This record gives sequence, structure tokens and C-alpha cells, in this order.
Amino acid sequence: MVAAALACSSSAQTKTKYDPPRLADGHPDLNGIWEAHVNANADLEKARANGKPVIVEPADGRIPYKPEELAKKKQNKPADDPVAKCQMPGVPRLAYIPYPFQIAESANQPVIAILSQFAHEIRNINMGGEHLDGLELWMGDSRGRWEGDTLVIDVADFNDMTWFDAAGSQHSNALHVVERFTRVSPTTINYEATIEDPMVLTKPFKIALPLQLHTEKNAQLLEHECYADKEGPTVTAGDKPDPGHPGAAPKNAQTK
Amino acid sequence: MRISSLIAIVLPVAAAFGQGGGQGGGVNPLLVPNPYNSPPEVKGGPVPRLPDGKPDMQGVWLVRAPGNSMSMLSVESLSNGRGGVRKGVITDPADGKIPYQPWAREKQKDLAANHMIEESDAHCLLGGFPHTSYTPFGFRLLQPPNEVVMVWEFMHAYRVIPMDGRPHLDAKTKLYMGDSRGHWEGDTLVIDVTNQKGRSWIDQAADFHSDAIHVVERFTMTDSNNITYEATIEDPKVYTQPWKIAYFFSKYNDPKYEALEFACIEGEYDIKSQQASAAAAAAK
Amino acid sequence: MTPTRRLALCTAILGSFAGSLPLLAHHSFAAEFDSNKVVTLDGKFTKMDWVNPHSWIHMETVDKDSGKIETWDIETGPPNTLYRNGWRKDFIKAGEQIVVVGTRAKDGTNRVNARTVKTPDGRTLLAGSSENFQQSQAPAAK
Repeated sequence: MVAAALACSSSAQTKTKYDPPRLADGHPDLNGIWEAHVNANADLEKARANGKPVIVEPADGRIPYKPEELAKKKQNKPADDPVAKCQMPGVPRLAYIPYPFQIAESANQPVIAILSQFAHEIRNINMGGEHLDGLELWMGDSRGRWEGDTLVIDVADFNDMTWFDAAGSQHSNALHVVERFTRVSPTTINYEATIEDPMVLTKPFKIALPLQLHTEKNAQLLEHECYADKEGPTVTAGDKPDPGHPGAAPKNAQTK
Repeated sequence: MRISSLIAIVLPVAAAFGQGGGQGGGVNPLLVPNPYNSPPEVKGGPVPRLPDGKPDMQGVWLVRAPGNSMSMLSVESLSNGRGGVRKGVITDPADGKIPYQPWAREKQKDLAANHMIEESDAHCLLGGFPHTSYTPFGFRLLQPPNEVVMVWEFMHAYRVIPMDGRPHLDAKTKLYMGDSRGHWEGDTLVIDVTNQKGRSWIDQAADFHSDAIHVVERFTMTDSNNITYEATIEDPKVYTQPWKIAYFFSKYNDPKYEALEFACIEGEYDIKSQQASAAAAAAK
Repeated sequence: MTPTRRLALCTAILGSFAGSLPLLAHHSFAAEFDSNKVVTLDGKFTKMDWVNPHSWIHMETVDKDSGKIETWDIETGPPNTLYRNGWRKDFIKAGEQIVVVGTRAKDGTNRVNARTVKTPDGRTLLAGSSENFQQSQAPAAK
């Protein structure tokens, strides 16, 4: 403690760590409407925040795909982007699609809810407990805990249906993401995510970007109901409809 | 959840509806929270309070209306769950029917007979209010500072209810879930809902409404396990008078309960199934 | 693409759904399936679609007399209900034997609303059906 104080006083710039407002349980209050104002949604590898690449590891700023997976990525077409089809964006992408989201945090509650303006997506962050066994989810299963003033969220149990960005960055159902939310100023949360997927990546990669608070008077989420406003149904469960599916006329339809 | 922990959860599930209370009425423990069965009524203790003295309504709540998940049938045919006597949830008008204007009643009949493809749950459209308030699978209520947040498992609907007295959105803004504003009247949470689109039905039985619909909901926690719910619904374009519904919510106290993802973007499978079924029937 | 700095408002465009055929809401169990037409299907699991609001099992049975293979589409409850009833993704493999008890579609097609499914390892699991039978006739857990 003393050594730190000496170091601080001798440093040319003294920086006081931000002490966030807290809820009754002592944890930082992350309530508010937040949004990433960096263009990571289009192409993670091209995105920059505060002048630096959003991909902070590896040093070359590229998603470390296995060669065959990189080939697959290059064949992914923009029209197949799940977000373009109004499907669920997955994690970490929900944090940086260009739509605000609200963090709903209440003292001593077992869940922190993240509510998005995009197609009313919800992430229920379970504060404790274990990952599910035998279920694959679009938005994964989230387990949160506090490390000091950082909300750490461990996300697993993904399906393979989402992309990290509109540039076709796919993943498998072995995806595992660890997010860190730290409020560093009244209007900024530093967001970091470490992404690993041993089936498609040669090693994990890490992203970092700031989330900004919406400070407009009476700010509230509105609705981007892209699914509801489409004209016709789209098949969204991954496989193309096959002749045996209930969607097609049943093979054995009796016409007696 | 592993299988062994799943069994540990489901066996004491009747106890989840109270403070370790006894077996609830007729609910199969394996199915809870079963959207198609009504939870039992279990008396609770005193209403818990937040530091500011307001009722602490946080937790998971299930619709209590014996017989059916309310969203599945018509509002007119549901029970309000009062003490075993089957009375409708519609308390006003006295005949228990939605007070449609004559043209609207005819339209409702036509929708029910010929246009059930437009049933909004099947399309995974957000139901707005009061529809979402009797949705199966339960909802979680959170009370962050200055707001009440409700998160439903069914098609991951949510709403944020500001409690800070701000005005409603501009009337031209139309939302599937409308615009909710809350305040306390004593221990009753009163929510005023405006700005709805009118595209979703009020239930699954072709009961439609317009974008002029205005709903006032009242949630009163009567003890730690029970909420009494009342709502007044008016829509001068469709109804001859405002009408009222009333039923209850039971608190679900199992600490192991977790909401699961309900993606619902795949709702079109059901629509295609219906179309195939109708095509087969028409071919006969 | 410019990242938005304001809350976006989406204007609804009312979609028009094709179909003037009299169609039935899927949630209306009674309208689509016949509680009196209880069937037991003992056959091979093909695959399963874990989707909302209803999941679908695809299976094949062999007609005892003719030897003809019939394919069936079995409607269950949604994945969250299945999961809470003990189902797990990929816990039944293609080709394994299952027994489905359920109610047949009123239009006579090979669609069934499942009440229970007996898995290859001998467990009988509830299928999350919206049919009312569960209140009075729920089978034993295992």
C-alpha cells in the first residue's frame, strides 16, 4: 500500500481509479442503456477502438482460424449473415451490433439481465451455478461472477449458427467466451472478451472495446423487430428444409 | 443441469411454491414449471420490502388460472382460479365476454373461422399487453433503481417499466410491447401501457385489437407468494366499453430454477406444418 | 456503415401472410390433434429438430403386415420443456429404437402430438405436450 502511494506521488500523471456507483449489495451499478460505437459488427478484423484494433490478441489483429476454417469463412456470403436474417446474434456479437442494450441489475438477485433493442434479444446472466449439459443455444449459457469491480461472464453451450461479424466469421458449438465488463467512468464500460473454439481456431483471440452510456433525457430502448416485419417465413434452424420435414407436404399424406 | 440434479430439482417442486409447503393441487412435479398446468395457491408470509419500503416483488412468477395456460385459449374461456370455482377471468362486463362493437365481433368470428394463420404466437410475434401478462413459462421480475423489469421466458419477451414519472413516448411511436409507465399506489404497482401496434392478438383465439388499445395493470402482492392481478382494457375503435380481467400469480421459489432460451425465430416450422395439414385436409 | 448514436425506431411494415385456407393455430391442440386417436409408434429415430415453439422428432415405423416403411413427424413441446423433462440434445442417435405414445392429427396425416417418448435406454419421458392429459394421467417418472 505504501509503495503504491509513493509510486503514485512520484509519477508525472496521477490517476485515481474510478469508483463506480454501487447497488445495495456493494457491487458496481452497471444499470443503463449502453452501446458500442465502434464498427466491429461489420468486420472484427477491420474494427478499431480509440485508434487501436478491436482484436487485441493475437498481435496481427486476425482471427486465428485453422486454414480450412478460413477457407470456409471466405465462402460465407453476406446474405447468409444470421443477423441479416434477424436471427440471434450470439455472443460476443450482441455487445457490438449497432443497437443499444440495457443492463438490468438489482441487488442480491440471481440474474442480471441484458436486454437488446435488436429483436428483443435477452441474455439472462445467471450469477452462479453451472453450465448446462446437453443443450445448444444461440446466445449460449451465461454464468456471471464478480472479480472485484469487474463482472466476469463465462459463456458456453453454444450452437454453431451465429457469426462473430457480418464478414462471415463462423464458429462451432465448441465456442467458449469469457467476457469482462468494467465501468471505468460514468459513461464508459470497458468490454473485453476472450474467445476460444478449439474446433475452428488455432488459439484463442481477444477483443476489447468501450461501451458508451446513452445519456439522452428519458432514454429508453425501442424495438427493432426485424423478424416480425419480414413478409414471409424463413427457415432458421440451420438445415435446409428436407422433403420429409413437416413443412413440405408429408410424404405419406393420405388423400382418402 | 445434469440428470441427477434435475431429479433433485423436480421432486421437491411442490415445495417451490411456498416456504416448504405441502403438495400443491394437481400439479405434476415433473412438469413444473409446466406452462400448461396451473401452479397451486400456497399462502406465504409477510410481503418482503425493499430498503425504500416498497414491496419487493422480485423473483419468478407463474400465472395461476386452473385448467390451462392462458395464452393457449381464449380470454373468454379461462378460469380466474378463485377458490376452485370456475369463473371467467373477465370480471367486467358481467357476462364475461369481450365487449366487442358489432363489426368487431363479426371480424373476430371471421378471423377465428378463416384466418387462424394470423395467430400471432405461432409467428413468434410479441404479444403486447395484456396478452404477455398471461404468457406460459413464467416471468422474472427485477427492481433495479427507478424501474421494474419483467423478463418472460416465452419468446424472450421483456419490458422495462420506468418508475420515475417520465411521460409516455410520442403517440406516433408504435411498439409491439407498447410503452409502459409505472407508479405505486400504496402497495399496488400500477402500470399504464400505451403505444401498442395492434398487430398481435390478445390471445390465441382471434381476439384482436387496434393501435388505440390502452391497458392499465395492477399488481398487488398480497403475501410473499401471491400477486393479485387486475387489468382494465380499453380500445374505443373495437370495444363498446372498457373491460376488466383478474387472476393471480404464484411465486416460484425453487432457487435452482433458471430461465432457458426460447429462440422462437423458428416459429415458421409450425406455420408450415399447419399449411401442410390444411393442404392435406383440403385435398380430401 | 455508420454506427448509430441514437435509439433506432423501426417502422412496422405489415406483412401479409399467404394462405386463404382455413388454418388452425398450432397451440390449439384440440383443433389439430384428436385426443381419441391415441397411437403407439415403435420405430427408429431419424433425427430431431430442437426448435421453438415446438420441437419435432422424425421417425420411421415398419408396417407389420405390408413391411412398408412409414415416416412420422412427431410434435413435442419446446426445447426448454423437454430439457426440464430430462431430454438432452443428441441423446438419441439416428437408427435407435424409440416408442412414441401420442395423438394423431385430425387430418389423418402421419403427424402425432407426443405424450411420452420411451428412449433407447428404457426411460419414459414426458414430451411437453400441450394436451391436457397430464393432469390426470401422468405416467411414472421412470
